[in-house]
Amino acid sequence: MLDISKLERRWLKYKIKGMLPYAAILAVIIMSIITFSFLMFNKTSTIPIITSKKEGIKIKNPVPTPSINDESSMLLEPSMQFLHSMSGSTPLIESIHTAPVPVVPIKTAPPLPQVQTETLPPIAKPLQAPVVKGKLTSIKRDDTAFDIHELEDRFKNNSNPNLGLYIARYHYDHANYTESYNYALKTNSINATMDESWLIFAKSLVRLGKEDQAKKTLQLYISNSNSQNAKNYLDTLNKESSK
Amino acid sequence: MIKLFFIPLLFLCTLNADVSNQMFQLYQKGAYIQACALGVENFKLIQPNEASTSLFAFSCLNADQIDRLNTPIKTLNQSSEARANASYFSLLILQKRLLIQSLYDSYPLKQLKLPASSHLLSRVFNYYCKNPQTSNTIKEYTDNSNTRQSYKLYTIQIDSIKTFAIDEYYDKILVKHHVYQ
Repeated sequence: MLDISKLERRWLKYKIKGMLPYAAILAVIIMSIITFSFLMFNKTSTIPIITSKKEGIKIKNPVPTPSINDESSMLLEPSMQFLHSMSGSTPLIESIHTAPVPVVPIKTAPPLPQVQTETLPPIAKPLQAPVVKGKLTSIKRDDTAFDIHELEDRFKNNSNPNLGLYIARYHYDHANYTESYNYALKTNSINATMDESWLIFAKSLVRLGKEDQAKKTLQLYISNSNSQNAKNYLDTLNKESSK
Repeated sequence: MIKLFFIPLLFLCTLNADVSNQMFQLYQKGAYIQACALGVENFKLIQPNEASTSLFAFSCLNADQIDRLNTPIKTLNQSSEARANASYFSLLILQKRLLIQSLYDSYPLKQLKLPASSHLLSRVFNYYCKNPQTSNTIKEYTDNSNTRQSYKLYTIQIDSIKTFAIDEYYDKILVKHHVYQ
């Protein structure tokens, strides 16, 4: 008589033994996939891990990523090197970098006599020869060429002294001292109480090689306005000339 | 037979150089809109030259025509310089798109983390992310590095295209009006 239950158990064991190699291979494959993906995930992951704490949810960054709120975040800047290869036959003009005009607070002072502007006539714009250097010089990017003309037109129409001061400052920053002189002069004739305009006016005169005239103008302005900035600049000029 | 091959090639090269030179001259004059339009018209000619493609892209960028940057981005990939510029343009396109979405649909950008750049659009984008001023139609921001400089950001529609404008101010004087297209 056959023992059916015993035979069934033996058959089950036999079946399991037969499946064992396949199961082992499958387990190895699954393990290796999990390990590989885990390693890859750790390498490339920049996704923030969110951990909840008592005071609330905080976000942790495992890898430092640039933040818009962070002032020192990664900056993407363009490369303008291609312009050098573009130069070809076209000569490149070196950009002129000047020291920025110091920021001077506008003070109210008694208006100056109109004679001041009459004695100083506008300087005729000289022909400016561009400084042409070799091929590997930087290019003058005239980004706001049209805008400054637009502003100049607006100034002609509305004679806004703030606009005049802006144009004078712009030209001074771009080393157009004749233009900065002229616009500062116009601004001073509209509003003679703008400290910065007088300073740009005097600085332009110095840059144009008329230091004595600059000193006289500053002295006259100081006598009328008692401006500390003008005094400081006059002192600097006197020190420089005594050296 | 060789002549048949070289003559069209020479002709193409001459055309390419001519377009590039014209574009370069326009760029130097500050005629960015014209330089950008010239690049669009002759893109097939300038495409093989990365310097010309970059010049075309920067012309469009300076003309505030951000959407036109999509075309040169595709071909700026051979040199590291070109790839850097492509990333820069891509960032500006993305920031423009996100700003439009946020301004029109109140899409929140506060948690967004993107690289920054010194371009005006990028700077204003960062100020907007920090302080969206949701209740104001015209958003006003003062430059952190120069307090005399300020910006106004507002929505604008041109030919039924919804976009935005940024006005640059210096001492409260309008210096430049940008409409990003």
